[in-house]
Amino acid sequence: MTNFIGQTLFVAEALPTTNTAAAFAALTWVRVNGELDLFQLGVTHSMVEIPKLSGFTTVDKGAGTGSESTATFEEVPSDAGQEDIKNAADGDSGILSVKIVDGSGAANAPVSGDPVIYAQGIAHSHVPNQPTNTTFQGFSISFRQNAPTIVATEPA
Amino acid sequence: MGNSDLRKLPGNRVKPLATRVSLTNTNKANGAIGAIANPFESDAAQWLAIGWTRTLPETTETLTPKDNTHD
Repeated sequence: MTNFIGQTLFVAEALPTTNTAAAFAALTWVRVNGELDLFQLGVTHSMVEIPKLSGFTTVDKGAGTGSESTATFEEVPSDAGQEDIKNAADGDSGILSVKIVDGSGAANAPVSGDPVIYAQGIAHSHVPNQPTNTTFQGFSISFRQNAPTIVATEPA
Repeated sequence: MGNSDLRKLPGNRVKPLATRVSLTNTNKANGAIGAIANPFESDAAQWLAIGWTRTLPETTETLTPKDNTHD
C-alpha cells in the first residue's frame, strides 16, 4: 500500500503540442510549493441509455469529460510556482499544464525515472482562505482537465 | 573494457544524443506569451507550426557611438 505523501506539483503556463509525454516533457516546469492536497486527475464518462421495449435498459459508453478538482495551498511568499498557478487561474484563458511527481530525490525532487502524471486544462477559481482565528493564509485553485491523463516517468 | 575503449572499436558507431532546442511562445492560444519549451530538434517543427519561435540567444554586444553613425 502506498500513500501520496511526498508527491509534488509542477505547473507550466502553456499547452503541449500533443497530449504525449514527450510534448509535456518539453515544457518548462515550475514547482508549486505549499501544497496541502493536489488535483484529482482523471476522466469520467457519460452513459448513453437505450431503454429497450424488452423491459431492460442497456447502455453504450458516452463521451468522456476531464476531471474537475480543487487543490489547496499554504501561502508561500515569492514562490514562483504559486505565482504561476495564480496567474493562470486569474488570467483570461486559464491555460495550464500540470505535472504531479512522486520524486525520489532530496526533498522529493524529481529524478529521472520517477513516476509522473501529466494533464492539461484550465485553471480557474482562485479563492483565498477566509480570514478567521482558525484558518491560515492560503488559497485554493480549481483545475478542469481538458484531455486524458498521461502517465509517464521523469525524463533524463 | 571501458566505454571509451568500446567507442574506438571499428564499426562501433556512437549514437549521437538527441538535442533539444529552446522555443518561445508567441501565440496566446498556446498559453502565456514568452513561455519557454525545450522540445527535441526532431519535434520542433510541430511547435513552430503553431506559434512557437526559436528563442534568440542573448547578446552582450553593445553599440558604441561610432557604430551608430552613418558615413
